[in-house]
Amino acid sequence: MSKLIWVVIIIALLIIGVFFFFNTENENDDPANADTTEPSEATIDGSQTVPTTTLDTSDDVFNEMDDALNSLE
Amino acid sequence: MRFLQLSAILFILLMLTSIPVYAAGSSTGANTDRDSTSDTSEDVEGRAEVSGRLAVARTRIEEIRDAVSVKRTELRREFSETNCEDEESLTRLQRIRCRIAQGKDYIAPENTIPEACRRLSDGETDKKVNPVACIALYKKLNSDGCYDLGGRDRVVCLKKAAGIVKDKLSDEPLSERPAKARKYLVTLLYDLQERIESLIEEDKLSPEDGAVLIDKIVEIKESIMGGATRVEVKRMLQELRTEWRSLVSEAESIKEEKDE
Repeated sequence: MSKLIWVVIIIALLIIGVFFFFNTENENDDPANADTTEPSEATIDGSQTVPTTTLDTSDDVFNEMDDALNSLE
Repeated sequence: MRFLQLSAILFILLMLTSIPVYAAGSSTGANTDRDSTSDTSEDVEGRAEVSGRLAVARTRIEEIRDAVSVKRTELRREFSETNCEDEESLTRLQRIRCRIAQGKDYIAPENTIPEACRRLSDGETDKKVNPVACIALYKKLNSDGCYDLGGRDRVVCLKKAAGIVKDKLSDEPLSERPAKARKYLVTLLYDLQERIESLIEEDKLSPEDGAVLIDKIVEIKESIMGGATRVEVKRMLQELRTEWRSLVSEAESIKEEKDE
């Protein structure tokens, strides 16, 4: 009878192991779970900050100008 | 013997109960191979349509490039012997056309004042504005090589040249904000100018259209540095955006297609 208990315990552990293996694999596949944190960079005053725009397109530049306009008197 | 039988039964039972769990995981997105490799007739038609459109776009790009190349050659011939800084015989637009025509061969004489800093005047009183701050801004932008940088580095560099030390312009002290905003606007307009020059160099934008846009940009920069109000600057930027869309958008899309 004690052998039977050991067998049940080992199989249960195996199942738990298999469950965690597949669960972890799914999480890695999901791009929503990927680390999307932007790398921070230091500005001239030493504070850690990330510019909100990259000026990749001319539209980005025009939008940035619209924002800057708000600070004009 | 009895122990082995019991073990075998238990193992089979457990295997049977674990199969549905794995299957459920697969159907909820763990296995996407089937979706990505299947080739339906819709996919084939879609790919044919895309390649057809690409062929048309390539032909159009070649047409544009040929036309722009001809115009550049004509312009180069027209201004090959001209002093582009001659303010007496050339208008601002002509000077810009001249610089574009000479392209990479053009070297500005030492201590040349940037075009946008030459005739700064207060919009209301018409009083002359000292160009020192304007010239210093250009020097800073060039010495820091802001326009050789990309992405966030470029933004940080432009803000630094404009004296912006905080993350956002709105975080700057209220008393300093308008002056910094003016400088930052000038750096952004200079950015647009650089884009135009690149597109012309790559034969994607007509040098004539480019010159008209740069002339407009210089005019806006003069107004900003001369103290134009927010309403005035906003109106000018809206006009520029409209012209940009009609003249540059196609050239930019050529760039994007090439990059893709």
